[in-house]
Amino acid sequence: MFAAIHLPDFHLQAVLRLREELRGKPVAIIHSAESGGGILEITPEARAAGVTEGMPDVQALARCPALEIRSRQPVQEQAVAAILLEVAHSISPLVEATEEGVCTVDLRGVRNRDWSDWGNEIITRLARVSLVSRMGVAPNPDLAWLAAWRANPVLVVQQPELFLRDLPIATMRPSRALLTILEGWGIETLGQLTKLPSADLISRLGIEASQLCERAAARKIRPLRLVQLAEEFSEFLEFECGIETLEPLLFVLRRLLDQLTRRLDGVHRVAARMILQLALENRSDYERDFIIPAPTCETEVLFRILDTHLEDLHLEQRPVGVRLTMEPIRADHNQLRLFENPLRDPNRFGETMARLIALVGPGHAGIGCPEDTHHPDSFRIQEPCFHELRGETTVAVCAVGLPLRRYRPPVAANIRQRDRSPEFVSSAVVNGPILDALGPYRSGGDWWDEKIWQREEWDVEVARAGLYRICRQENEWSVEGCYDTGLC
Amino acid sequence: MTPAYVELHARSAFSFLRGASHPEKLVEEAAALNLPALAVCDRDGVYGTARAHKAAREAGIKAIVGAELTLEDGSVLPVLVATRKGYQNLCQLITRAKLRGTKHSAPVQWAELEEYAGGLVALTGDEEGALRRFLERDDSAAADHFLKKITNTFGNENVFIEIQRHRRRGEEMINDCLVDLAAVKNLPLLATNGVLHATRSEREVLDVLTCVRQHTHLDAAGKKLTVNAERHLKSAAEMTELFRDQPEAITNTARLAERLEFSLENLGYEFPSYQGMSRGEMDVFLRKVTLAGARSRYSHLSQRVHAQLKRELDLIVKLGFSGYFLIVWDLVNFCTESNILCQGRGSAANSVVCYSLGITACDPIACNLLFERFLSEGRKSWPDIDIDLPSGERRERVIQEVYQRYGKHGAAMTANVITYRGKSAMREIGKALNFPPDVIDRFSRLFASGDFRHTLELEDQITRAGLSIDQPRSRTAMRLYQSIYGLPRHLGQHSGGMIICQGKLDTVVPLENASMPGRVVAQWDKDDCEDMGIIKVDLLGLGMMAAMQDSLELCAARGRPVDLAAIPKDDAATYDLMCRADTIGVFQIESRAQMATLPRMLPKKFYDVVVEVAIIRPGPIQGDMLHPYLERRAGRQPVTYFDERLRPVLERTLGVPLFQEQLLKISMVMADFTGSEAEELRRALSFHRSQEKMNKVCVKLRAGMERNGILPEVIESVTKAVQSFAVYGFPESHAISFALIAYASCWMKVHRTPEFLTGLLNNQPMGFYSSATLLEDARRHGVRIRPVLVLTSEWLCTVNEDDSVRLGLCFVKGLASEDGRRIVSERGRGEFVSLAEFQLRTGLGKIPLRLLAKAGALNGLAEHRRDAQWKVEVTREQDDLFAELEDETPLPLARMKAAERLQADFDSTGVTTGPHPMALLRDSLPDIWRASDLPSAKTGTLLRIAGQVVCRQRPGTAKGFVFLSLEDETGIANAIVTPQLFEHLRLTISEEPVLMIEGVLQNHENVIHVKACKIEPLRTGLPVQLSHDFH
Repeated sequence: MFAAIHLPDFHLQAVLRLREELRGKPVAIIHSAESGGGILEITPEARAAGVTEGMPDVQALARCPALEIRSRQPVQEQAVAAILLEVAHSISPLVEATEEGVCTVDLRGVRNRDWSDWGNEIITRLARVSLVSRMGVAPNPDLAWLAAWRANPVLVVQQPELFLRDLPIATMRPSRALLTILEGWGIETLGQLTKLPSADLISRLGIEASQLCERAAARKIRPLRLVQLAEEFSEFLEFECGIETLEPLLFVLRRLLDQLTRRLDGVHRVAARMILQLALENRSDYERDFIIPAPTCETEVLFRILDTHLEDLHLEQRPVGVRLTMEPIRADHNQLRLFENPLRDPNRFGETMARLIALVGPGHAGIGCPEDTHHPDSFRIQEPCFHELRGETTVAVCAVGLPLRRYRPPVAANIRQRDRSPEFVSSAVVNGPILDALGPYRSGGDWWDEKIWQREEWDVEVARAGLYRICRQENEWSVEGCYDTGLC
Repeated sequence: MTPAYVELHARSAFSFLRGASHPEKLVEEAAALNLPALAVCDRDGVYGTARAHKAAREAGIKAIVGAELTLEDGSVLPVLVATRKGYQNLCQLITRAKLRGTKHSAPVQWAELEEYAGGLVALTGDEEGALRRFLERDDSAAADHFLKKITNTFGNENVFIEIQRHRRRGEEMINDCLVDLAAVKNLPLLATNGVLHATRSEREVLDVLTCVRQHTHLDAAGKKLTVNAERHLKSAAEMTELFRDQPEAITNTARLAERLEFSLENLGYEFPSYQGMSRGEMDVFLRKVTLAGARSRYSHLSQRVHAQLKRELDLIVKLGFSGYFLIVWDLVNFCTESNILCQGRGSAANSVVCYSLGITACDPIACNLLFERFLSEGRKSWPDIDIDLPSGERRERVIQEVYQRYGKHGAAMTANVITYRGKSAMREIGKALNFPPDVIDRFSRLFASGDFRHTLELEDQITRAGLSIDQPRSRTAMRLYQSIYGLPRHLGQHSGGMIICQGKLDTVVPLENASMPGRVVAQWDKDDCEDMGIIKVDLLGLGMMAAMQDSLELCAARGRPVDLAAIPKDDAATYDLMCRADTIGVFQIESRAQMATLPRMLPKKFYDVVVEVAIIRPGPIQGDMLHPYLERRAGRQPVTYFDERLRPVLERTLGVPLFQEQLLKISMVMADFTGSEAEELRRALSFHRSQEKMNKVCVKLRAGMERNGILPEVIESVTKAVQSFAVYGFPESHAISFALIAYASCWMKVHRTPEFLTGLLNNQPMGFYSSATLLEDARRHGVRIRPVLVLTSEWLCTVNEDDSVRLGLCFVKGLASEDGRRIVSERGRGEFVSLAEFQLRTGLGKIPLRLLAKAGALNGLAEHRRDAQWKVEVTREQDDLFAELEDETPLPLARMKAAERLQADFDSTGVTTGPHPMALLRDSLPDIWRASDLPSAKTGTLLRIAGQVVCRQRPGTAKGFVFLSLEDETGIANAIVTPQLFEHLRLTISEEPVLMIEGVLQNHENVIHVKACKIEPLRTGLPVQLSHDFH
């Protein structure tokens, strides 16, 4: 036998799973704008108000003004798909991810049992993680898949011919062209289809019709396209009670790492990225994403990265579970070449960077990159991306004029002006009459946002002090820096 | 004293996404800053110069003409026009590049620049200019070479080194180089601000437009956006202060501006002479042909006709317009010879010369029309002759004839400036502000019913689209919306306006390729052309003219010919049709509003039709003229006049002024306006003219009336009437021209019903109603509609011997015309005897065969549609020996049921020859009134109607009320929706194709409406037709 587990309204469930406040309300998921918009899936409450799938969202709002419209959430969908696969793998190792929200499991070899009770158990398990599911059990995968769509919540197909007779052809998902022809002929169910003279049918509609008839006859068992859970390279461990200190966590992590690196090694892969997720007591998650400087599957190297990070990690809540996920790449993909690697030991460098980041906080260590804005001195700190470092040369922006030594942060100043030009500066770094001034240089941006800014800069020569850059922003003056003339 | 400064480099919004202000706004700001002149240099064109010129004339400053030319290396060269020759060179230079290039890239070649440099002054440009690019790259050799090239091309005295200061850090390094170069090369420095927006605040608009151009949004645009807001117009004092170290750069601007003597005032435009005749020859020839024409038009040339002809001809000769009349006459002759129906419309119908020349169809003497409305001595612009032609291929033939006569460089369509309106403006703003696509989409959908801001404010619309109004970006969006609304978006071509020129039109205005092959379009729109004194002939396509011509040809072919000119104007049956508002499909008087007036108007003579055409217009409705007219007509109100002296002017319209001509006459009688002053009033009355002009004329009018001792309340009434016409007044001559077609179409509907229907069907889409509604209406008039059938159908619809109409193969959606025509030609060689033979002979592929089978078009060759659908799937080879033998096996498919046939009909042809979809539902709608039963209900009855929505209207004059027309199997029922109910159920009303409306019946003089109090969608699952919405 085969079992197909189906999560109806997959996209909707993915959104609603973590949004309890939307339960019991009319909610619709819409297609992406690229797919032409329109309603994709709806809750029963929306359906009761006259909303249907495929309807333009504006028409749906016309019918149900209280309708909550939501876009698809790919991340949530991935999570739900992973849960479905996990449950399927707990039944049998032979699992097919048939389509979004549907898994088919090969149950041959499983002892015969009351499939209905067994199916309800699986459905209850999924319900515990807030997922509604249906299950179809049948002698072949296609039939099980069809049964899952008709199940409520479990349907065991004992007499395939009877089951198929009234099934709409559209459920078999034939091509649009074939379906249009059959609809034009008034052929709507598989029963009607199988009554047509098959030779005449195939001579008219070709190979696809032949395949459709075969599937409708439900006699063939097609091989499943098996998926291995291990491909995820993720390990998860739930603690019986929250962990208080670092040692037990490191112990668990080493065990997980051992498992993961062995699995990676077995398929000739190395880890290019490692994601650490800690489930905390208050049901929130802590997550950290590590790019592995030199992809590897050495436990020690990977462990050191985790160890370094966790050393300075302070969590408000105790971890109650840990998940470690590896993103694998082929080992040869990043094989080091003779003249290209500027770092002797990228992983050690990475570790040092991690230590630095742990010390100064994320966003405070890395490579400074100028931002694409007119705002002067605007930059972001970017963690070094080791895979891209090799062989690259940084092109310096051609600097003109004297170098500016910036005060960070700028030093507050009082400026006296005459005829709108600065005349006297007093500040913690420079005081005195201004002999000459160039400016104002004006800039401004983000006018469309709360971050709106406007600046007016002057280059000033202060008597017996040197050249400085002063700036007025929001009516406050500051000394931004000193030009390197050897005077200041 | 501050030296004079002239801004010589400003881009307007007509640089399309590279400038943020209207040319008029730039001029207005320049005048406010006391700048004596301003040069508008749009990118690769002179799109904004005509508007700038007009605005400058009014503001009392000089508008200098210039353009930014894109060169082959991508750099931009600003040029200014010094002389008329220079202007002609610039126009030709741009035309050459535009006609050679594509819509998005049409660079000028350097060799062409050398050829056309005369009379032009070159600036070295801003950051997009070649010189600054070289200097920024520190490539002094290239900079040197460029300066040599440009001075060789334009001459040393005509090249200026342009210097700009935008208070950007680092710009002085380049400026220092420019100053040095100017000194070394002995070239003058010229300060400009490279203006991109009139005022500082418009920088935001520029940034948004930059995002649109660069296909990005503000958050990602980074340094593509402007660094500050300095590129606005600045006063002489500001610029002098900015360039206090380079004073000659400022003084040079005024010196150069003085040298640029050219203005669009001396455009040098000349209308072509007729067949190379001299002016005198043309005058004589016009008199000759006019008199000959008059003799054939009038059986007897009365003294009055003679006098009017003399008066008109004298004025035409005096104003030098003889050639114009002859050329239009020639075009009309071409149409007649080519069997293309045509009729002059507009104010030309006021001229007996036009009538005599056969340009117009109504006799202005008999209709007592005011010639001054068409032509007067004070008139500066050319008279306006519009010609209605059958839309489609026949009109294109006339347009191509004009191109052929005057050459690609001698004639062009006028442009149509497409501006940012509600939906498009908000879509671009939404994209720039990085709103989610679904929000932008929803906002646009909410705009589907047009820009009706008077009941749904922009704020509400934004909220309904799913954006919180408290979000800073929502506020920004609203602010930007006001600024961007109305800015030019791109240039299209006018539907029919053509301009022609003696000699080369491309020396008057640059020309470019239209998106339609074979068409050339000018860079100015029709108003710009009119303002510049360029003559325009409107060759307008009317769907009804095409339908009428097709109908007349069908009548002639069926032995029932009709002479349009000889149709009796007093046909009782035709007036009966109008009185019962049975006017679906006819010209002009078929709309819901017209149909609601006809039973109250009860037309009895032709002039009633003229009034009917004119009275349902925003002008008369807003001026409160409709109601008094109808009341007086029904005898419920006495006929009175503002003043007894106006009796001859207003008698025909029962004392209510309805036409522009009447207002001109009123001004002449009551305020002693001269012909020129009346002309001034006419121009102010054109609906898009400025309020300021209108006020000015009204002051003059009041003063004139006061001088004549008119009572204050009469002055008030007259002024109110004049002002309401400013919204949209209708000239009487125009109404007469339209009424002629309206009456003729009604006559055809009564007396040649099948031919008329066929003409309409073959020219869809046109008019108010879909083909499905036209067919329903025809059925109610006893016409039998035959479905599409390959055994008998032509490509177009035809009339059968038994007065039934056979739908043409063109109705089968998706069927290529060549496939359709192949079927017809193959059938001409012998009848089809079987489906297999049909397949083999026509060689049609499976897709067209499926379409035909589904539409029932193969029914004569198969038992029924499903039989055909089954059989066409068999692949047949040309050499199949057994093809002739039909498949003997029993058909496995069941015959279609009624609902299935209906669905198949609508899917494949958009119409049905079977029962109306509502007929299939009737049994399930026991308490719903049918449209035909409504006359039997009493006013005030609460009832329910239901049907497919065929029309949704929300006229600007109706204060937010919405009119819905629901069609069922018996006819059309109309409902009125209050603004409150509409806003409450906006989406239901706009989006649902089938509605059930509960409301109170109102029957006022046989005009029946249901005043809606409850509206629900009717979910029928049946096919629906397209409705005519919010036009």
